[in-house]
Amino acid sequence: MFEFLTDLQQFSFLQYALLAGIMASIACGIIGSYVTVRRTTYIAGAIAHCTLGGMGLADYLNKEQGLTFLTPLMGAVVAALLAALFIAYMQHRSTMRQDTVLSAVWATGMAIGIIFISKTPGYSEDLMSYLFGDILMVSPVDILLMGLLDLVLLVSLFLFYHRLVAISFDEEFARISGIHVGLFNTLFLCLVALTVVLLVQVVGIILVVALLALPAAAAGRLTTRLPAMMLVATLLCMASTAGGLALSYKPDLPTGATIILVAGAIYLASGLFAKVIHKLSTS
Amino acid sequence: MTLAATESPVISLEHVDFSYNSEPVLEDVNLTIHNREMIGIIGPNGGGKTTLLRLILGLLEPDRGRVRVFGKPPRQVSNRLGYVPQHMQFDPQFPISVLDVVLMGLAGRAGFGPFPRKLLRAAENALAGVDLADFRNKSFAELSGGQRQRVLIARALATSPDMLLFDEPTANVDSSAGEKLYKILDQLNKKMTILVASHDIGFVNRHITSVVCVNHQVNVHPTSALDGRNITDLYGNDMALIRHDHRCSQEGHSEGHSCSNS
Repeated sequence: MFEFLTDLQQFSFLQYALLAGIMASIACGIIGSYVTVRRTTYIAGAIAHCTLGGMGLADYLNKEQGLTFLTPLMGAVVAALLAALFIAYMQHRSTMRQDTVLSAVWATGMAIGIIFISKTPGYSEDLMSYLFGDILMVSPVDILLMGLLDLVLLVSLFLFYHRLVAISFDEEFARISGIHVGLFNTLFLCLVALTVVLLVQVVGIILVVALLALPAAAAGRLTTRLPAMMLVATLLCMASTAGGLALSYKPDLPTGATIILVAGAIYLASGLFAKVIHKLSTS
Repeated sequence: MTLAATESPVISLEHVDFSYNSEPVLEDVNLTIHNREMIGIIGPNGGGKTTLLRLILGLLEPDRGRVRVFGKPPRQVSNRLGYVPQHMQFDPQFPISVLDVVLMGLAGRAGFGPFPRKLLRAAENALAGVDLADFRNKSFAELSGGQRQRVLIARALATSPDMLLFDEPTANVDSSAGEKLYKILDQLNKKMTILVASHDIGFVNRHITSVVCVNHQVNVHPTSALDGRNITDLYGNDMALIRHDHRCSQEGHSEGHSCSNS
């Protein structure tokens, strides 16, 4: 831990990693809370896995076709938004079961990614870093893009908070009271998509759902209002990413996995904490 | 009721059919409701009460026939309709305050960004109207069933609607909460038309002008205060009885006066 702190002052890659964790935590706390109260974590899971297709394709075009301006992050943004639009469209325009749609998005996106990655040099390293994240490889450009995504999220939240809460709490009533439910649900899924992309940079595709759900679930136990839940979830997510980064540094553990274990520990601790508080307040 | 009969109806359904997945729920429904009536919609579960409400709210489109509310298609007048859904359908873990639930009624008309003070005041007034002004900062989840229901009434009233539609008000509410509810409804009925759907005949209080029986088809019955002591014993409060011996003819149903309280 001490070594992490001294090296943090020295190495820019560690500073970038820490900054990326903090950037991702803002999105994670806000959207994670929405996703948790709407009980739609698995939509985020499907979108996350679908980003592999975008990242694989972007990497392939970059390395094999000479489109050097394309980065995997850009591919992930496009794939995630397409997945979100498709899911939103299917929710409103088709009677197909939602879990079928999510499974299709989930698996097809991954399959596309695996095919392009197999046709690109450096197969196994890239695949591993997409699946499990590689926060230590984050570049300044990535951080700039992450900041931009955070800004989009915060502005959307400021403008549309009440409408997004209304469609989450009672969709039917929202429709009667004149809210364009389809439009705002699509917007919501696009915000989830952007958040998922941010988190994929930090913990990878497979662990995204955990990072979205655990801090928000812990925050949900400690608060009784959505804005407070979002704030606490953001702080807990920051603690998880910073803590995971620090703990994994010296023993050279996989950072993404360590972050998730810290988040899991915080979730368990929040349960005990809430129980103790409940006992104290009733006795 | 002579006034009501001369005014144009606030709700009219003409030859309305509706089916879910080719399973007919409502068939050839004709219904006329006039201003400031209080209508009880009763019938067995699955008989189509909620479907009827949803058609009037514009959430469903009929397969055949015509629905008009205030003389227009329901979707065009949704801002004049207040809706109180069954209160048991909400996620008890949703982290939200009482005032925020009421504000949801106004979310569609607020601009983008935080609520302006005027709308906050409208929400607070609506809460005061259902005697819950002191509960504004409580969690919605903490409230009793009866209190939650009053919050949902306040949410519907925050927009000052001209009509209130109420789905299953007595479900999971104890009888004292039920009585409080009737008082609120009677008060509101002075200003607006009220439709109350229930599978339970117990809610039918003496202020109801007509009862609409829904069981795939729709029949309208007048209510008349009979001296039903045995029923009073059963339900423990003021009851009105429905004259099941007197069935309005189909023509009679569309005439508001023939179904009014005597």
